[in-house]
Amino acid sequence: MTNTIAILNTRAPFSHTNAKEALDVALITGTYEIPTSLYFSGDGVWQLINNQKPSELAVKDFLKTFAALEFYDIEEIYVDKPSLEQRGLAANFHIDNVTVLDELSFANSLKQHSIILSF
Amino acid sequence: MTTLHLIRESSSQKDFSTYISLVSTNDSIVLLDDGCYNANSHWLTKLNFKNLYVIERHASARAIPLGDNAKSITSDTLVDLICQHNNSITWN
Repeated sequence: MTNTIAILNTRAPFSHTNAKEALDVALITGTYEIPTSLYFSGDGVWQLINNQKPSELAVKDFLKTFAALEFYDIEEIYVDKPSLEQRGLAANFHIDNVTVLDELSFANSLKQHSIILSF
Repeated sequence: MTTLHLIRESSSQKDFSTYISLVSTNDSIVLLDDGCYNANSHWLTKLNFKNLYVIERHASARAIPLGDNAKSITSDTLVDLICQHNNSITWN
């Protein structure tokens, strides 16, 4: 079976570099046409929430780059439902084609991949 | 399909709950480096994972008493474990 990469995001976007680094890795593997899927759980779900205004924090707004994912054929994007609920968040994301999965399907989907990088 | 989970950090500053939900019964968990500090932590022992290992040298270097919560292994055993599982997740 071909190697596929899953990138697991568990950190919020701005105070740590994990989120931006994860996105950079996704764009790199996407460039090399390695099948890449993105998974968001825990605080990682904050990266996708709509109406964020990073400019008010004087940080680079790398969230805009999420819109470029589809040009890299990265269309498998999953969010852990309990993580949203625990944070009182609705499934209102700044990108489309995001699939919200319950805990078990999220874990099973993630663990199908040969390589799992966690950020 | 089994996954090897690698814990390399103490849980004090971390929220491992999102990773705990990724563990299935036949997965294995290895405590290495600072992850050994979790060996006797209640959050881990109460989950009583079946296949829980700790790298003996990393734990003894840190004077961490090893009860029977986790099986002591060497780094060579870790290599075997990596080969026995389909993939691995590092708890970041």
